[in-house]
Amino acid sequence: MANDAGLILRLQAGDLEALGIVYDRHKQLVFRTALAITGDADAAADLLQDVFLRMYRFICRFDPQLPMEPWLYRMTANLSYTWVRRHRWLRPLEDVVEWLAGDRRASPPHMAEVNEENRLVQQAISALPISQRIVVVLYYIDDLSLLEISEILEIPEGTVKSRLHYGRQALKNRLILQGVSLPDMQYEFT
Amino acid sequence: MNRHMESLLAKALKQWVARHHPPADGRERLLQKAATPPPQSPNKFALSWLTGQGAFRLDILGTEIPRRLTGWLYFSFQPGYGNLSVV
Repeated sequence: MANDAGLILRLQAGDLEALGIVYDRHKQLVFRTALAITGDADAAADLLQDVFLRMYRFICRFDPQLPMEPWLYRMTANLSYTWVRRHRWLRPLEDVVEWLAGDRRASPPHMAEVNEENRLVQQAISALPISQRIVVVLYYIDDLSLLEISEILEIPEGTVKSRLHYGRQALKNRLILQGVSLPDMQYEFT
Repeated sequence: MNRHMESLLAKALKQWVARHHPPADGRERLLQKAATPPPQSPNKFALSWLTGQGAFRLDILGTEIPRRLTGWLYFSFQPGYGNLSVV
């Protein structure tokens, strides 16, 4: 199996097959990050395409000696940030639509599909300020270290730490307020 | 938030993300898009005077200038229009 450096060289030579291999290798990483930041599966699917398309367009600027993941994380975070900023005015409208669709969703066939706790977790993430949201997603979902996040976002490590601190406090408060029973969470307070 | 609770939170977040998957036809769509050349964005400013494109077109040969001039002359000499002698 070709390594990332080899794939970058092939991409720089215009090999589309290499793009397919890179896509298959890293699509989960990009998709889950975009999904967690935007909270929208359709937007995450579009961003997934955008990230790899940009990578292909600007592959001549890549250094094959450097790892690919940090670039992918950075591009995903940046594009997701742009998407969230563009669509933030739609959020209240989506909430109203969701509220109107509440009765339909509550019907038994939908109840089987929709996991209420997952929805509340998603809402709690979406309620975070975007700067905190990105750090929380990279830390908890992508399992990156503080140093890696600071390098990807090009911000000081202390800033990452403080954003993470405030982000998780807000998450915790919101989830407790909504009565989300994280697995075994009740034992924490007994 | 202690470590145990943090791991529970991370687990809940990962469970939520794991419910969704990238689209099945993503690879084909990507390769299709990559195969087509990117659209060239037109430079609307440079050479626009010469090429006559964009917002900087100087309509010398068209009817824009005479039409506007005629309209201005016509309305300038209308009684009560522009000289406040409406009554």
